Amino acid sequence: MVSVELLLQQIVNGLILGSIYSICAVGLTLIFGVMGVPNFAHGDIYMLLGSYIAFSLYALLGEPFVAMLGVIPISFLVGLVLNYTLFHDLPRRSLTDIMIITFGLSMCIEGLVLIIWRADWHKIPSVVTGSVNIGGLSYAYERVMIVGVTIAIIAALWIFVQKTKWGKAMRATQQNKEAAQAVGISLSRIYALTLGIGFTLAAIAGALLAPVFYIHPAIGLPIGLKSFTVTILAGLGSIHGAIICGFILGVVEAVGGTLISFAYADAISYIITILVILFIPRGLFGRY
Amino acid sequence: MLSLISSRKAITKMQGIIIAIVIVVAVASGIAYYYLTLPKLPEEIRIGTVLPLTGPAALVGQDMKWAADMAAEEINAAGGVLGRKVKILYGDDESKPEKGASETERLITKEGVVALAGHYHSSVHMAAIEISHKYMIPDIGVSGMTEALRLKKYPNAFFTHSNTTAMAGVYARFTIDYVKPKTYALLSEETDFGRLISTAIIKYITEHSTAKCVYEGYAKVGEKDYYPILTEIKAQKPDVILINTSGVGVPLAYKQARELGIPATMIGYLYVLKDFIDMVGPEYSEYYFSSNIFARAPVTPKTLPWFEKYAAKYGKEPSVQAARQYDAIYVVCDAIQRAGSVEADKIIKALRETKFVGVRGTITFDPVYQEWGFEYVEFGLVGQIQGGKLVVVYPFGVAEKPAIWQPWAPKPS
Repeated sequence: MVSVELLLQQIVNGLILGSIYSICAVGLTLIFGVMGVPNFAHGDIYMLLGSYIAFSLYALLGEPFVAMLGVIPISFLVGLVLNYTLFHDLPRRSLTDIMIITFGLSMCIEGLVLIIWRADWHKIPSVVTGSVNIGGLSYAYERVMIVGVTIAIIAALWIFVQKTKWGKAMRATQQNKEAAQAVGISLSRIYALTLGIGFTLAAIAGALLAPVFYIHPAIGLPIGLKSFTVTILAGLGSIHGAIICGFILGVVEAVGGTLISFAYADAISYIITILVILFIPRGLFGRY
Repeated sequence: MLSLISSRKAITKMQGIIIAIVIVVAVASGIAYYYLTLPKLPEEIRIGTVLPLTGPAALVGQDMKWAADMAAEEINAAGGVLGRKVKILYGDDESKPEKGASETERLITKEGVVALAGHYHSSVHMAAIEISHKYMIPDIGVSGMTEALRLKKYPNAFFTHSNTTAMAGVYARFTIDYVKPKTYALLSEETDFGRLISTAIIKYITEHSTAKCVYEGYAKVGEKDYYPILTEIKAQKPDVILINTSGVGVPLAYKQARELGIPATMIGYLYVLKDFIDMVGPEYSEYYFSSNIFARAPVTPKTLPWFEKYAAKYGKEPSVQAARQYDAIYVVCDAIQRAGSVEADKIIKALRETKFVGVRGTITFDPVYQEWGFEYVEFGLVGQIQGGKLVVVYPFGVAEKPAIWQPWAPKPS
């Protein structure tokens, strides 16, 4: 029999885990919603532009906090460059072409990482040390920081998308590209901005987790799969849905593991996603 | 030609002859190409080693690869085997059984290896051994501990290490003798190894003490976030937690247990001290207990020189898996030398007669399971990190220093 106290503790664990799922999935959803491109290299962006760039900056500068901040401009710039090169024609291409190109990008990134950093494990030190007591459990400050940063970023993104001219232009593009063009919105600039923001969100997640877990070429795939799961569960293109479903998925895994088995935590989340899609094909928050 | 394709008339006799000649030439060319491009008998002796070079256990796989490279370099510097150079060919199993099997098949059929020496995960070796058995290629396992591998009694399979029961024994004995718990919890990985060692530990503790297992939990291979499962363990209030994950799962699980402030003695493994301290951090690594250690002790005349050489070359002390891999390469080369041949059946016969002094002891194989299975140095010892160094603390009679009670764990009442 599982106690209420244990369940509440697992919910807290799930929310912490879910915050990472949310921030990764929001980036993926943004790219898909605005550009219509499912980026199958999203997990590798998290891995390379987030974790490995943070690690390399730390090796260069010796300061983990600065290293984490440094991934933001780098990943945004890479997003811009890729938009005008590899991704520039993707919104007009078929799904097959998009899959081939983004999968290819994923494989290139993994190969590049193996060549440069090899298959060794890496880690960067925590920005904050120590722990805080929540509900009778002790949590590392860095985990609490992740939740705080995630909430701040999501809030900032919401303000940007809802209140700024560029954000409105992105929403307009997502709703109707032709109409957006008709009123003078430059699709290429919106796509560049979207890809930059999407990459940056994935990179921030990778940098935040670099001191918590470990850095290795294989860490991109699991987070990429989770990002897609959240995106599908939420409904393709629903940003607020991705935020909420990221947290839901984290809680489902933590609580499901307690009730059934932690070895099957992933399977539980995938089964629930499949069931939701079977009965609500557009996802929990999707409109299409 | 166009008339041949589009014509409704039957082909003429001459056209039929031409077509038949073309088909025969094409088939003959294909057969000739196949045989001409088959790997030729190499000038070198090829030994296959399948390891987790990427994936969650790459930390250990890399150590094993370095050890194998070192063994091959030394053997070649001493003149090779049968006057030929030894070449190690690697396969990456990515910690997946299906990859282990496919890489084993590739090494045997495409690369023409004469023997295999490697494998880290039991589950991977369980899949790969079926392949080596199909081709009857000598297969020396260095880390797969599951008894199921031995029980197959495949004539081509040898094991230069003990099994899960022996490994569980030292864990359990130290727990009973030192911690004297009333309750304990197990955090294992969801693999053959994890399941078997948990079962063996529970059996041993149940037979030799009154301690009760309050939690038996399994996490998937490659798990990164152990907070949920550790939260559940904490709720059970065990006196001691035995951590049986592998690869980077060990330092991650331990570190997160410490972050959660679980007031229990913690015992696990560590593969390489430096890697463990790097992953866990110096603030948490002190006082950690580890079984499965490779101690800097003169087990044979080769042990200490090799230990120092490895540490000097690679910047860190060797893991026990590295020591096993090193010995395994030497064992297979020794067998080929004594067999005087690279034919599989002759190597297998020579392996059965092995008596080789390695860095971990004098290696022989029992006639039934072909296992070198007594409790030798690494399984018999428990170490503790004290002052950033790993010191042997158990068995008490051979301890370098007394064990220090972990300050965060209350003593069982």
